[in-house]
Amino acid sequence: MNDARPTSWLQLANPAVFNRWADRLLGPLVIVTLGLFAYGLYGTFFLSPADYQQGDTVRIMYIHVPAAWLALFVYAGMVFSALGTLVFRHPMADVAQKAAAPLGAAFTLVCLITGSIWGKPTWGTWWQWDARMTSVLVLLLIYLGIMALWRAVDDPLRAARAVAILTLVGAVNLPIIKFSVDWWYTLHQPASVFRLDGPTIHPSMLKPLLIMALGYLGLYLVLLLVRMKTELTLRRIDRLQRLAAGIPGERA
Amino acid sequence: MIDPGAHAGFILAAYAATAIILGGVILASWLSLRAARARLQRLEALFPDGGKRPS
Repeated sequence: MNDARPTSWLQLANPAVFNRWADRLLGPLVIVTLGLFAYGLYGTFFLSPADYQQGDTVRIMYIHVPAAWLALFVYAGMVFSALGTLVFRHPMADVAQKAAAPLGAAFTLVCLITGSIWGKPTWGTWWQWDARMTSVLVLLLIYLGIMALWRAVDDPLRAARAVAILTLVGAVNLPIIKFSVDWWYTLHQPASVFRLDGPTIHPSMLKPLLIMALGYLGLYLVLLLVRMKTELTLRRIDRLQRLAAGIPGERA
Repeated sequence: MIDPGAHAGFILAAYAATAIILGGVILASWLSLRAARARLQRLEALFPDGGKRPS
């Protein structure tokens, strides 16, 4: 048995080494994620109070806000992967990016749908074309564009470079989303957690919110590992088929 | 403790939508990995030498 331990990110470029470490991490990650969701949902429905203005509709916040954070977090990770592809040519960078895009799209969709449902009883409307909501919708379209580009280009190396460039261009939307509520007059409220002067949200609501956010993060990491393992398996299949057919230029 | 009152439908709809979307992604990811592994096993059984043709 090969018990070589990765001492650097470069060694994780070896699919066998990556798969071994992913298999070790997945079980504990699933358990921790389930625990976080169980405690987070208990806190959401039984420990946190109703809002003095919104009543119990504030409980939508515990699924909406973490989804918004993850939508941005996943894209930020994809920006690093894009740099890994273009600058360092790390073989796992495009695998990570391809695996992350649908997850980011899913979190963005959750953010938009739960926000819309929360908006109706709170603002009296399902949707408003204000800067925050529109920029998050643009983020979803960028995610879908990235996923489409992966499918449109046959050569994975060319696709990875094209996607990396598109990802870097789309990164301009991240500060727009974050600061849209400060730069423009929006129906959406300003930030209440990540502020220079500290959170304005009461600790009885902040604690379950952060636990739910950690649960979302755990879910993302689990799904990212699973999808990266799938992509590596598909590349191995592709390589085997090319070798068997005698097609030159197969990828390792 | 929750007392959703008139807004129970909104809260339920938001949580149901989240469960459907994230549950769908979990299911799709798991099924894709399972299908890819099965396909790889079939291929490796066909080409035990790693797909190399005898020269």
